[in-house]
Amino acid sequence: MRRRTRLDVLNDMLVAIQKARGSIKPTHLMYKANLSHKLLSLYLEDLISRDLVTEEQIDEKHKSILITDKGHDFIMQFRKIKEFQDSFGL
Amino acid sequence: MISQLAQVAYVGCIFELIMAFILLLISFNSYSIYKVINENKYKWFALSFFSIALAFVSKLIMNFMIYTNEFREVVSTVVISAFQNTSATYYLGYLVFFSSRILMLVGLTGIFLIITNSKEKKNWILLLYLAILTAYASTKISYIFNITAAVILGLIFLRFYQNYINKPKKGALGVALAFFTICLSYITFIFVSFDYSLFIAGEIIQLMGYLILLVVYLSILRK
Repeated sequence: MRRRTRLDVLNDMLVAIQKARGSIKPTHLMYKANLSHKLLSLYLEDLISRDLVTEEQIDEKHKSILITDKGHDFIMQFRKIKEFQDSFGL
Repeated sequence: MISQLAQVAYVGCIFELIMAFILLLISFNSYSIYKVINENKYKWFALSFFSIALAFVSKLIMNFMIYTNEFREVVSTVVISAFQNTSATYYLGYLVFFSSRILMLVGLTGIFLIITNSKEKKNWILLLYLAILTAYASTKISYIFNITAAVILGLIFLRFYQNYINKPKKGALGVALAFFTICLSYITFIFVSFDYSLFIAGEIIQLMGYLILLVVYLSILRK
């Protein structure tokens, strides 16, 4: 099977959040996006820094990941972005 | 009666308008990707294409000036001397001519540095300095610009061809083919001093290259 690129992983994570009606627990996201705990933290940090998701504290122990409008936009544009990236080798 | 130089300048204006438009489309697309995924390379890629688009806009202004100067009975086969009727138009012509060359070489160098994943700032500074120096030197010896552009475009083509080998997709092939064609046009421009009709051939080849790039862009949009 082909190794997922960074962009593929980010898209998989966002699609997983979108399918969960825009909000998901980190553990669920880890399973849905097929990631280890370490990689989840890494990619989550990336998503937050790009303003594609936000974190919401539910209570002292639990938090939820929410997809932003920019995140929805990313999913819509993903195929075009991927095609542009592949065509120009970026 | 309109001279041959004016006719070439008129056709050149139309060609440059089309090429600038195609480059602006790609630049805008790359910038919109940057806005979504916040990766700096897309911003620099957009700016590089924008720089080349501006180079064509400068060339368009230059051709327009030659075209309008022709109606004032200023006839010359050498582009830069077509502006020598008054000092003001000469300096304006020189400025537009020089900026078109700088913008083109800076844009091409930018594309080369981005697609080769060059993150070393020193490489950027050195290559951009050399691009500006070449643009300056080429105002005296014209073929230096065409040779330099052909070399950079050749290297860009090789990188895009490598990308096609790694990911055999139509889009990647299209981009490689487009840059090969554009490279070919600059090779043609090198020999313009021997035969002026090669200039028209070069312009047509260059337009074909950018039209291939437009086809790739439209296929990306359809996804």
